Parts: sequence; C-alpha cells; structure tokens
Amino acid sequence: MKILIIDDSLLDRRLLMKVISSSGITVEIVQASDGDEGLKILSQSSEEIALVLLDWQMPKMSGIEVLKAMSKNADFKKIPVIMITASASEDSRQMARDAHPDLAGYLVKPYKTERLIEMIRLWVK
Amino acid sequence: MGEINPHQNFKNNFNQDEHLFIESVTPEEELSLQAVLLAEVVKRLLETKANLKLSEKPNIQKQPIVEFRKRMRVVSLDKFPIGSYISVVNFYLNEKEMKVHKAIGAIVVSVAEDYISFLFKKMEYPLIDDDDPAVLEDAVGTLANLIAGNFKAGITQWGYQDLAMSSFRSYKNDVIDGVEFDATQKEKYVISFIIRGTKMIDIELTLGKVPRNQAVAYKRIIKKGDI
Repeated sequence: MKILIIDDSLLDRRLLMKVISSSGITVEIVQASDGDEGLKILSQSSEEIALVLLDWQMPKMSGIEVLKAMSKNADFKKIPVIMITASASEDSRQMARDAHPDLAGYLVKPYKTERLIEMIRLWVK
Repeated sequence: MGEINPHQNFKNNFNQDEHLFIESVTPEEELSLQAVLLAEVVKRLLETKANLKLSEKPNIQKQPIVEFRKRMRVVSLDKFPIGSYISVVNFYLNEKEMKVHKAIGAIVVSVAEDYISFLFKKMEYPLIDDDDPAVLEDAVGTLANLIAGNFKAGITQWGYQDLAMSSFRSYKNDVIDGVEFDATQKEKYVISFIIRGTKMIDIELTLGKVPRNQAVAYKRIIKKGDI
C-alpha cells in the first residue's frame, strides 16, 4: 500500500512525509514533483496507490488538470484524492469538486497536522 | 514613493461604526488596501505558523514599476546586499489567460539568504540544507505559494473575483527575464517585514483591475481593526 504525494515543492513533500511517518501510519510513500509525473506513476502502479495527496499550483500540469484526468480514467477514479493547497476560497474548493466529484478531501495550507492525519486515516489504516 | 498610512488615507471613508465600504474607494486606493491586506496575511502567517512576532509594523511603500521588454524588473540586491532568494507567483483572471500568460498581477517574495533556514525551522519544516541553492529556491517558492494563496482567498472574501494562480518560479538576487504583469499598472507596493530587528522578508505586489462580484461586494465591509 502506498501514498502518492504530488507537489512541486520539495519542502512541502518533505513536510508531508515527516507528518505521515511521525503519525505511526506505516505506508510506503512515493513522490512526484508535478502532475505529469504523478499520472505516470499512477499508470504504472495504480493498484498499489491507496491515497493521493495533491497540490494545486504546479508547473506543466496543475492539480486541477490531474483531478480531471483521474476522474476520466476508470482505474484512477476510485483512488481517493486529498487536495492540499494554499487556495482557500470557496470558489477554488468548488472548482476542485467540479473537476473530481468524488474528491476525498480539501485541506488548506497552512494546515494543522492533526487534521491531515485524521483525513489520511480515513483512507489508510 | 512614500510610506502608506492606511488609517489616515482612508479615514474619510469610515462611517460611524468605523467600517470601510470597499465600494467607496478609488482604484488607486483599492491596490493600497490590497497591499494592507497582504501585509496582514504575512503577519498572521508568521504569527500562527512560525510563532514569530514582527519587530515593528510592516513598512508599506508605493514605488514606480520599472518595465523592461513588457515585464516588470525585479532586483533584490539593493534590498538585501548580502544576497537573497526571490520567488514569483502570478495571478490571472482565469485559467485560459494563464495559459497565454496574460497576467493581471504578481506577488514577488524576497527573503534574505541568511534567514531562510531560520524561517523554515520556525515553521516546523524538516531541516533544510542552506548550502544548496536549489533547496533555498524551493523554500522561498513554498513561502510565496503560501502567501499568494492566502492573499487570494482574502481578496475573494472582500468580493473580488477568484483568480487563477501560477506555480512559483524562484531565482537568486534578481529575476533576469523580469516578471509578467498587467502593463496598465505603473506602480507597485513594496512591503518590508522586520523580524528580531532585521529585515528578513520583502514582498512586492502589483495587481490590475480585478472584477468584483457585486452581490458579495455590496455586503462586504472591512472592520477598522482589519487594517
């Protein structure tokens, strides 16, 4: 079982890994630095991915484009996605929900680590 | 160029309840208010995320935009002679305009090189290698994304249309190819943040006319305490 982190910020990826590992959740973490790379990883190992933690603003392919691509693909559609972004407005949340109606969560940076762990635990035991 | 005192500039717009109606400000005052909001966003982020208090109020100054080949020049060496890292996030009216690089504005975050590691440690990020330029560029970009996203949410709450936001692009000391901006804008705001007696962060804001959702805007007011 793996968690896929898709975020262009190396520091944000490191922070997420630190939070997950210190929470006691035992899971392998794979990383992608943009949406394009994230979709490639999904296409190679979608069966093993239990959860995707997805940033919004990324070069090459944004988080919204990733959500749209995932919702159109039968294999990817069932994988839960938590969007973690600095875009806090209600319009942004709605745009994410429109892109992927089954979005598992939407977390605004800076987030409380307890809240993130709580959301992850809903999908990864 | 001059320091902005928002309370003095807009005091005539406060009603008896000491509220400021956004509808009553001029386009020039609008950007000034947005600069005040940006300063408040950064102050709160530093307080809540890094447990850092500013040594003094953010210094907000209006400065002319220096244009070079239709882009805004950004040089940070005069602000931080010891060196700094700069990160740029652009705003667009929508995703379509982002694809064709028709920017409506930009936030440019410069952080003194010697304090990047300190700031991120305070924000409880994993330790960073402050000898690695790529890591430092990433760190300042991460901060710029955080600031720009929270600023964007703030102006949306004031009734402005939600904007599309770019990913960050980071540089050392200057932005060689300049920054995309709305060429109708001739001035920008520069906000300096002093922490522990030292200027650590400098932020530039340029923003063109952003449409407002009137249904929201007519109800939206700013409490005097907010600025």
